[in-house]
Amino acid sequence: MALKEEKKILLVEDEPSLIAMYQAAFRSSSYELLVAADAATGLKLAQENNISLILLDVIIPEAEGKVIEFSKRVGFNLLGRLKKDPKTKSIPVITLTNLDSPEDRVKASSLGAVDYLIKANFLPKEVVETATKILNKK
Amino acid sequence: MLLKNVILFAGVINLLLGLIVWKKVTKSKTNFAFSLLGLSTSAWAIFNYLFETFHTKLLLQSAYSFGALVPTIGLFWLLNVGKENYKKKLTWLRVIIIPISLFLFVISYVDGWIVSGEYNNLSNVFEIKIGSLYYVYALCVFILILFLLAISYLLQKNSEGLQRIQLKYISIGIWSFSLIVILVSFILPLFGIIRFAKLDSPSSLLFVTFSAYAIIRHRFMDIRLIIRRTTVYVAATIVVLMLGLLIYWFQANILNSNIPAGILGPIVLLIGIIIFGPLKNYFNQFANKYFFTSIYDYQKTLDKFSSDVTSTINLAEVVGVTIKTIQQTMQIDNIGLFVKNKHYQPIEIFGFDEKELSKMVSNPRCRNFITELRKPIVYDELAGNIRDFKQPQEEIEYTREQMRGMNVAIVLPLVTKENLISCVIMGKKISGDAYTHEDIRLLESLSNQAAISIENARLYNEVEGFNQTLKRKVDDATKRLRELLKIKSDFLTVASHQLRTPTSIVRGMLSLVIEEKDLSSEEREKFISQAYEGINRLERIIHELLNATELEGKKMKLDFKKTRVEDTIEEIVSNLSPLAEQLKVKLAFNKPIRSISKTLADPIKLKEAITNIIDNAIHYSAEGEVEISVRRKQDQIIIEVKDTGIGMSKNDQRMLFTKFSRGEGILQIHPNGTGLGLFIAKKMLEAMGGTITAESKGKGKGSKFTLTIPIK
Repeated sequence: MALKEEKKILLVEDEPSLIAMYQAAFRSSSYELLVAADAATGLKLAQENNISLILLDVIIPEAEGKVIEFSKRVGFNLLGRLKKDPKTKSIPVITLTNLDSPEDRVKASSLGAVDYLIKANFLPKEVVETATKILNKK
Repeated sequence: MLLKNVILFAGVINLLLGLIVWKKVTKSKTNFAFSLLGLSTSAWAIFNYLFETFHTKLLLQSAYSFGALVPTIGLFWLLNVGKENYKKKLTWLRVIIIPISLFLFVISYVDGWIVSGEYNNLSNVFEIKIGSLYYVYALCVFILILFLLAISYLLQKNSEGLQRIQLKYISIGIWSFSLIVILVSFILPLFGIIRFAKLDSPSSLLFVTFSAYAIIRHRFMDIRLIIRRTTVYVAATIVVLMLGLLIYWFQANILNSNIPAGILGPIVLLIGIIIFGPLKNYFNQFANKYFFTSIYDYQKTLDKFSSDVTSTINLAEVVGVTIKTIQQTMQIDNIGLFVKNKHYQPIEIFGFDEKELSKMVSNPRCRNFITELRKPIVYDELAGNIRDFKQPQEEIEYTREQMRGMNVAIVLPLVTKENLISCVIMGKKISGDAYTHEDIRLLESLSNQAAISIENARLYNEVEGFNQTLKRKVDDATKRLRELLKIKSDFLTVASHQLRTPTSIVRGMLSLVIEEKDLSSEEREKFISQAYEGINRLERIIHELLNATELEGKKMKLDFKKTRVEDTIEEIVSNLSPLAEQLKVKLAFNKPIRSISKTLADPIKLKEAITNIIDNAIHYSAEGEVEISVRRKQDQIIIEVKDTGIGMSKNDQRMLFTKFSRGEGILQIHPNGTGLGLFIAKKMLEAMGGTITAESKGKGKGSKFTLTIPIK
């Protein structure tokens, strides 16, 4: 495994069960899955590693130990920052969320997300497939 | 010859004065007495004239007999003018003078007592013989005149207001008339000078002149208008007559023709009829302009006011036009207009002290008086005879004193359809002149028009205000509906997100278990248990949502059992300990030393309610502390849940327990919740007779929730 030239995918997700689930799903793929449970960690990991793709949840805490606020779409905030930072702005971002309002979809796309996946509608393996497709297109 | 004509003139003028006042006789005793005064003076003068012309004894005696009546009737009149108390005080005077003057009247006709005489054909002179009682007669008349002088002076001195001004002129008239009579008939004859004696009756003209002045300028006897009309008619008639005579003279002397009277007469009459109308109008205008100094044209003023006041529906403008018109036509500075809602409200006040004026108008006595009278209240009339009014004396006196104090001349009520809607308070005229009857008639007409316009403006204002209120209410309701829609849509977003999260876990986990071949058995077991956990979470969220929807407006079904609250809390704390550990929250329950008695409560609902509160506190106090205590206070159990968490703004505290409605900070929600926990807890506690309150010193300063449960 160590010999494989693995592409790195960053998952920004705070729900432990979901993290475990996506980790299991990506294990059989050719990608290495990094996980950040809050926005601050997510930004840091994105800047410091050579990330090829980001799977981004929208309702996440700003930093470790912070409460989750529905009124603040912290994930969108992070997306904006990623797209401004020259080091991270070219990384494709897939929004992976359970929010499903037209406003949220428009917001994600206007901020530069390449896709918008509803967690409940996409099985873990479908998420992996979508990620693969986008990475191969590049 | 000239003197004779002057005497005749005096007689005619006095007769006219007497007759004009006679027309108003029904008005009062006072006017009746004044009328008699004019008539007796006239009779005296006319008998004098007749005697000078025909020289008979009877005419001479008649002149003396009627002359004796003049001062007596004058006294009678004066006694009627005075105030009530004055009349009573002087009753004795009347008792004395009546027999005296009747006696003088009668004995004047007895030959040899006062005067008699006969015509001397030789010298062509009527020789007057003085009778035995002549000096008694003279003394009596002299004393009567002295009384007249004294009483006119005293009356004038003791009266007030307009009456005093009127009486001043009347007194001057009486004094000048009387003094001349005393001089020419009593004093000069003592020195043997008798040739001026005949000036006595013409001097009554002085009295007439001063009376006329009082009538015209100061509304004396209320007959100004009659005088004015009479003058105009007389002038027009004289001109027509003169014209007729001129035509006769012209055709007889210049043309030398002899048109029969049967033809000429109707022609002259016709011309007279045709020119009488225009002539009358001409004299009317003339009188307006020069004689009566009227500065407004009645009809023109009314027309202009009507058109001005109906051109607007704005209350302030209507009031403005009303005030301006009255100020200009009446020539006054001080004026105020009140509109009656529940009370009188001042709309515009000029010159008067607004506070004092409002006090007067809203005083019940004055208010009642205005309401009941429904006519202009004229101060001068109040100052005169109060008995002319039907209203309680107390009301009149109060109003009069207030009017006097503030120099109010007229209170003009504006009435529509029996309703008093407004009143105008007017000060004195700038010139100091009194308000004439014509003024008051104009004011009454103006007030009718103004009342209608003010009422219309007021109704319009009301409708306008009503419209605005309605619009505001609709706007408010729309805004509130929009807010509710937004809240509902926010809630749906949150609810669907929270429902989907466990759904995605369950679906995802199960798909992995089915499809991933290389899972270890431990992993497989772990995923299945997480799927199970997710289903539980889903169920809890659904339960909360349904609970919240159900609680709205419905009575909750409760299953009461004897419950020990501290045990319930202990159970909850132990259930929530793993969560607290996970979030690094120090969770402490201070169990009371002495056990609290059991109470009737629904244990399941109670547990759910308290769980919601503590669960909330733990979620918002990551890495902090949550402290729970319970105690008994009288017949209540009090549970306090204190945390060191994020706290709340004042606005959040207000919105805290409402369904779907969450303030800025309260939209912070822990991942497993729906945000309905507090709402549900409150509803449940309230159903059990308890309460829940929250306090916080502000954002970031922790919160304290206090729950009470009654002991039953």
